[in-house]
Amino acid sequence: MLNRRILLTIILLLSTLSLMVFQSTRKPFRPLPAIQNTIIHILDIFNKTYENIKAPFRTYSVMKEENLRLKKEIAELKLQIQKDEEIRLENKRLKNLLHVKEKGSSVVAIAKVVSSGLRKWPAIILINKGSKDGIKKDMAVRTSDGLVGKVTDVLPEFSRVLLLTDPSFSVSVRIQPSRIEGIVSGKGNGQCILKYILKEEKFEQGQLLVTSGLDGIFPEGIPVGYLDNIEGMDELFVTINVRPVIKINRLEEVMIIK
Amino acid sequence: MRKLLKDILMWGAIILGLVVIQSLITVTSFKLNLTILPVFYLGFKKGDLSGFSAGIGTGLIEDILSGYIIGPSILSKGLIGLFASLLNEKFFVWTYIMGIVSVFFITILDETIIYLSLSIFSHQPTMLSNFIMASVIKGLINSPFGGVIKKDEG
Repeated sequence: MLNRRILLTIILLLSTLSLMVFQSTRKPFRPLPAIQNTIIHILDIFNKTYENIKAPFRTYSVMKEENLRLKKEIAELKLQIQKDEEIRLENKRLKNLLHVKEKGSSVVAIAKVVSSGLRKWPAIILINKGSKDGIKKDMAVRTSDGLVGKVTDVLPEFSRVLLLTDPSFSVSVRIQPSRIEGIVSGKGNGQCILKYILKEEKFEQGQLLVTSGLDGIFPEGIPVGYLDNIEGMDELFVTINVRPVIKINRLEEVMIIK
Repeated sequence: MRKLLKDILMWGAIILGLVVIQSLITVTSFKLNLTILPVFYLGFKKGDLSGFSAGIGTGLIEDILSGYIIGPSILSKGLIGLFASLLNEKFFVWTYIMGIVSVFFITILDETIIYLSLSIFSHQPTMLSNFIMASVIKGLINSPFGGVIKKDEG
């Protein structure tokens, strides 16, 4: 009995460690898409059942269709307002020029969140749109409020989205009023940090951070978070805590943009 | 044979159900760790092979759905399944306090193996302080389950 247990432990250790070493030197191993799709489909069925049970309580007397339409309308209007604010600031800086090239983004798809991730520290969500809907790896994901993350893995009918709160995520940002630029990364606890801000720069708590577009992945002007307290500093830079604009635990619908 | 198939289907459904519940519920900013409970139960009550198989299956589902590398959950859950069977064998007297304490520490062990595997082979998923806090809370949430597991007499 003990020998069998030792043998199983050795087999388990050797196989999983070699699998993980292989993946760390190359790229994460993805099992057959069919297996992934099946499991995600089952998860989706459970999720839809849960949503259906919840729906009558949530929508109450408001018709579901009407609600969705209004939500979409609000989302589009919020997008427009944010874009206008960016353009207003841009206009202010470039008032001597006659023509300003608009840097907008277009919506590829609107997706529902199937699962808010199974990792112990929620940093990845599953959405119900995939390559069939035109989604590609590295596309930006947002809500009407602000940045959610980016697409890391695309299946035919589903995609995985890495949230901005993950430590491996980073996005080029600027502080909206002062235009100071830096990099926002996740902390892994639902919060983010702003890095590479020179010590002599002036900023205030509560100021809004928006994407700068300099990383070539995220379009310019998407709200990312609000400046919080200073976390630390070295000889050159300060690191500032950031409160994300979006509520990660309450994500329901997201927009995939390019 | 038919009983084995029935058991596999039943436990498969239970584990999948817990995976779904886990994906729906978030406590503050982290997920619960409920799937460790059937793995522990099967290892403790049905022996090393059952615990090991349940651990590998559960770990594989979790790893596939996590979007990170494949391996951390398989390793942790597989080891937990084997460890649970060892507990049953080594302790002749089993009290409910021992059950509570075991489930608490086994949950923390599971979290630690996953955290270390990800930190070494992928990237550190969260800060150490968050990890410790989350693990302790998950252990506390799971621990009452240990109180209801009884060792078979004889």
